[in-house]
Amino acid sequence: MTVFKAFPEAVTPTQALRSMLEAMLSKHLVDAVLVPARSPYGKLPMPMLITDPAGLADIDPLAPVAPFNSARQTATVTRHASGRRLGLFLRPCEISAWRELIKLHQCVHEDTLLISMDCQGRMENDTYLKLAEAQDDPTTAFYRDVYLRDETTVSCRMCERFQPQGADLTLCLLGTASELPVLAVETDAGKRLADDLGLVDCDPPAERASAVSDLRKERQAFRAARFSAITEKIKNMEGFQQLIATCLNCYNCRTACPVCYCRECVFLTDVFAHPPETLLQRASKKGSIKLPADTTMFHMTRLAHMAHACVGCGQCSSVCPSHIPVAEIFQAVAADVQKLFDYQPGRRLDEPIPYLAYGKENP
Amino acid sequence: MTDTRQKKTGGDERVDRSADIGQKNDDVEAPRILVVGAGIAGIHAAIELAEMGYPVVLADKAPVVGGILTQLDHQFPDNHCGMCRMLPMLDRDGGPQTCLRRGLFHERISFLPSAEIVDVTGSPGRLVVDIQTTPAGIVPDRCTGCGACETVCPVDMPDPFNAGLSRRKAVFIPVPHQAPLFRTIDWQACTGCGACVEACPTDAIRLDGTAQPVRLNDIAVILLAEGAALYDPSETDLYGFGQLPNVVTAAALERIMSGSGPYQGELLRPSDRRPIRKIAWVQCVGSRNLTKGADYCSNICCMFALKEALLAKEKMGSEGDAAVFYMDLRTFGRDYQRYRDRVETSGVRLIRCRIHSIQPHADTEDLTVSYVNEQGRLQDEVFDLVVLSTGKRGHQAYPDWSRKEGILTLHGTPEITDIGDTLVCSGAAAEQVMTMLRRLGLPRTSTMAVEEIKPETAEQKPRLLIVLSGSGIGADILNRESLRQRLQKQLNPAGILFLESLDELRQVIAAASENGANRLLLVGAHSGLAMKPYLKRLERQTGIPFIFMDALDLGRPDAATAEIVPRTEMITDKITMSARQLLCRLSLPGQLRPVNRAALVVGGGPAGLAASLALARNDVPVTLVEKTARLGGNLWAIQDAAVRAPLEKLAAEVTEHPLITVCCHGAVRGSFGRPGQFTTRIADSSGEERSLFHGVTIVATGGRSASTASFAGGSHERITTIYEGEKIISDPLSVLAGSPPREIVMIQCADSREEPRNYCSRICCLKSLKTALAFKERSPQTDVTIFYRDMMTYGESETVYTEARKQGIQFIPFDPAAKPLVRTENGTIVVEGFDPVLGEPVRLEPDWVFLATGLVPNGDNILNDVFHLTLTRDGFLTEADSKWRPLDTGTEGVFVCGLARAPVRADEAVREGRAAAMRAMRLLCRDSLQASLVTARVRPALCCACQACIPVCAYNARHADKSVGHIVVDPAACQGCGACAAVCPNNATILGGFETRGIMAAIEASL
Repeated sequence: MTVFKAFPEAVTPTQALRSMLEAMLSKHLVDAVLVPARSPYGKLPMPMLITDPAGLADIDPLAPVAPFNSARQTATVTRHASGRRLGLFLRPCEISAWRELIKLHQCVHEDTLLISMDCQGRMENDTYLKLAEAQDDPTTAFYRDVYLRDETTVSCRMCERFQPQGADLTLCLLGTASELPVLAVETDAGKRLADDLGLVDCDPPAERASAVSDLRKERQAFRAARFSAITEKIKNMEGFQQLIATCLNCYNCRTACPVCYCRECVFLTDVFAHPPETLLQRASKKGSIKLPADTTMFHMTRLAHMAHACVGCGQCSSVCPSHIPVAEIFQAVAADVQKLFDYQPGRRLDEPIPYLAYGKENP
Repeated sequence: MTDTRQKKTGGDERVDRSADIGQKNDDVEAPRILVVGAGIAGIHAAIELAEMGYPVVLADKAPVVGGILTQLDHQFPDNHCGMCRMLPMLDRDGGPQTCLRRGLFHERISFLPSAEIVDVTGSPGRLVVDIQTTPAGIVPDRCTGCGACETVCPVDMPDPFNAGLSRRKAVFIPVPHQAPLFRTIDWQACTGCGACVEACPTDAIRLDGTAQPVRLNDIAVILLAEGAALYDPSETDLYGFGQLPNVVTAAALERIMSGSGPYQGELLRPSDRRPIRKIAWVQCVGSRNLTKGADYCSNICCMFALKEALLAKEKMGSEGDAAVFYMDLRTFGRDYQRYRDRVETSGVRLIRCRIHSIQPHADTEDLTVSYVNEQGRLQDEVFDLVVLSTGKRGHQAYPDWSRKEGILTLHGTPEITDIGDTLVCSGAAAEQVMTMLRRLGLPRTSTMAVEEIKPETAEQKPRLLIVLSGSGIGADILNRESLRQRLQKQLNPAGILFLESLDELRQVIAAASENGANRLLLVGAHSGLAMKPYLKRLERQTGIPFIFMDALDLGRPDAATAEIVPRTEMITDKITMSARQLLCRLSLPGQLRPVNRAALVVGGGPAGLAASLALARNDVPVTLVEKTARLGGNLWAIQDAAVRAPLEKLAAEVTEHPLITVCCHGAVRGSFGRPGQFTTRIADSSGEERSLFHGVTIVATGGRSASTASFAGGSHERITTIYEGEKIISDPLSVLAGSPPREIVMIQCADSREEPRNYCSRICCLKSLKTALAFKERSPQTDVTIFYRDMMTYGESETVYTEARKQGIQFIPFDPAAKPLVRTENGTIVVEGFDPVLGEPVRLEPDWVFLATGLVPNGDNILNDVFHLTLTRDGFLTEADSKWRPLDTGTEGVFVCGLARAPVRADEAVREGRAAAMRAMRLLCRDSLQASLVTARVRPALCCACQACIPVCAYNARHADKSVGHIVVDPAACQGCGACAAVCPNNATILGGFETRGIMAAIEASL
């Protein structure tokens, strides 16, 4: 049962979050927090592992940008239970990816406390940097100007899962006045923490439900339009080939993918390290072949491996130097696959991964 | 042995080969065993014995192996084939085949086709067997399988393989899926016109059908594994079979539904090829028929019909109608009742009745079935097709020579049984063969040595020798030189060798050493599977490890493809594919694990006793752990002296056997290890624990009779179980003495065959009948009424049912929805039921009510956990495969038998115990175990320990090793199914022989 807590004084959401994290660290409720912050050297917020409350000065967790999906970074600090308590600030898609990695035994959720927010999307890095040039406080500017949502990535604008699943505490940013942030407490651990911090109960934000529903409708409409466009293109092999024709086999998409968890990708192993004879034979059969080879194979393999686990974070598209709509292809396929198996990555930790639950009786 | 034979020509071929039959192995010392009948029983026994190291000759009247199963595509419970599951799981590379329906190719098994035994002379251990074989008429080495002979053959006749529903020539392929795909000549049909001889491009036909005498000397033991012949309804004018084309046998319907059948699997009826919409099955045709002297049940037909009805229903879709007309539906196996429920749920109508007649409907091809329904009224219904469920044909006997000493049989008489039961029987018979060999003092086969792969072979640069054999790819058809050039260019092999026939292996050995070859690819025309045993011989003679050799079946020349791709080019591509894959093959780490030749048997009931004694008789030391104070288990509950006496003898033999250590009041505390090497903690009566080192475990923890509160059970001292009833009547001093009961009621299936215990316990019907007969014998005036659902007197026990009816015992069927009511009124027992034949309620006031409560497994969860055993819903132990591997478990090296697995009679439990011992000995006969090539391996650098592969492994062969940070595979437990490799996203798990690189290279070569 969700309860709502108010912050003691009227502040911006970032300030509210900062003072909460400060209290958590100084009261030793957690040993460290992992939260996006600007480094002294650059404007892009990166995940920072902070143990000293003083280090929280530059945090900017609500900034409408995420240079990468930090589930992988989160997994490195939660590789196994270290005995230290961690407060983690993650976007909903990062939580889903991190929980998917837990199911894949790449990390554990013990001793962690999850803080998240109603996510209104992230911008591409260069869009955000332009905003940061023009505005002193780009984060506040973003939440004040609802039209800036249109500047977020295609994936974010298609995203229906903008409310976190499995977070202990959620910062309500939809339907709340930006000076009166409200914290939604979803779990027992979250309740204990709120009590320890002395947060007081408050009424649910009155307009949140309608704001959530409005945003969902907006996203669904956009999603439907993009899906129908991309499905039209990938309905046959030729269309698919056209889409990926500019692929350089740089494998950025794979590196950026938070659920692509292999230690070493099969495309870097001996399986695809073809000897010259093989390439020459291929060439002699067809008259000519494009190099690097195996481009279609790479995308198909990744689709086969990851479609069920795609959290829709869109990082693959963001990092593509050839501007291939990788994320849209993935999400269109993922939507079908996830519907087929009634599976949603990161929804529940005890939900079996489809290909492991497969059986004679359960095809 | 070395191969010195010259190429044979024509007619004398068969005789010469026979001299070599069963002597392919180097173990010339080992006694040869002849197994007669190459159905699944014969195949299974042959494999079991061959896996023990004995050379086996497998003979059959038919030209191919497989028996009736060649004609059946679907077996319940999963309605697929699955025959391959009985292939040896140890040293799988030695039995290098995957599909058993295509033929049997084992290094130590020689198949003698079209053979009939004429006489057996000599003495046990040295039997001389005279055999007549019918030549196939085709010389295998010359035949390319082109089929020109069949095209020109003028004969046109019904094809018995498709139950006469399709036509064939006199030269024909006996079984469409056989390999190699050689034709054979039906000499009865052949007109001798010689057209085929002229048409044959390779002079492969010998038109002489004279039976060839073959004499097998020095046969140690003969096992007769022939099944019973099937009832042919055309022998009597029954239900219009033979006159009405749409009245067919169940076997014919099986062919109709087969993809290789007369209508390519479409459900069409024979008369007009119209899609079938409405089918009726008539049960017990030829069986359970006293007027025809068939006082037996044929065991399999009920399940067979249910399976066909389900398959047909699925094929017909929602508008289809399937009805099974039966007397009793004998679903007497552990999982059969639920299968029946599934069939009923799918909409198949099950109608208990007697068929009056089957007549043509008006002037159509449809059929009117008239039957007397359960209410006793005559009713007509029109069907498209009527299927007669035919079983065994009459009482059959083995031939006279079979009574000679040294000749064993599967049953007393030829029988027809379900697949699982058949394999148990044939396993037990194989054990009998072993015991007889021991009694005859014949040398035990040397334990099978496994050679370690030398690491240097694996590390050397691959040098490939390509051997092309047989006229199919020889000079007759191809330009050798052009093929050689192409292969040289594509693969640059160390050597290319052309052979006329596989008999010229000596040349291969020479070429291998000359070229320093360390990889070998044997290429033949449409005989790929048959070539694999040759590889085993070449392994010994060339020193090239078996895993670095492969056999390639080029298949038949396909006229359609030949027009598009020149044959030489196609062959080059095929060879390149195989060769590339072979060159990519990784070697195994040469790891041998010694086998601890000792066994642990858990449970001292009939099954455990039989297993222990069978093992001990074959020199295996056994520790028998029994949880109670004395051996015997349910044996002490058996009242029937005839059943009990042999079991008591068995218990005594076990107690006295020097190789068996009995541990009563014992318990298993924990076990770990791998097949061949287990360590188990056992506690004895004092609670003291010790470690036992053993190679196999047989779990026979048994079960017990259930008690019940249904039918007022336990509420009155004379409402009790049938087991008590048996005790009372068997005890001369019992409460009955002097005052025989006036009336007795028995109620079958108490708490059985409905959820939660939805299975038949198999023993209760017979027990009730025998008890009822015993009461009748003691006091003929006692009235006995039995309320039943289906009397499960399968097989020969049908006679007891017949006798019971003869003795005036009343039988009243009931539906589980309307069970008879039992209550007491002022101390009087009252039973109220409904007699469907009289159509009115029945009220009885019996002196006694006996409830047939069935059996429940003992269950021991700790023990099951210890051995990684899984349970059915009802708590029985699950086997690896209920049909094809009934006594294996998911954990290799752990076997299960008796009541712990499924309800069985005591004699069946004993048989299972012996068959389980045979399974175990197959593993124990080896000095050491070498993991098969086809096992999974993990590449640590790539493994991210996501553990996806662990739940998908059905054999508990994998675990995450935290200390090394990756998944570890137990190669001995791994069965090479490849599920792990399929789920592994980045090829960290690879399956030996199926390395991705090799497969990709093969695909590459084919593109």
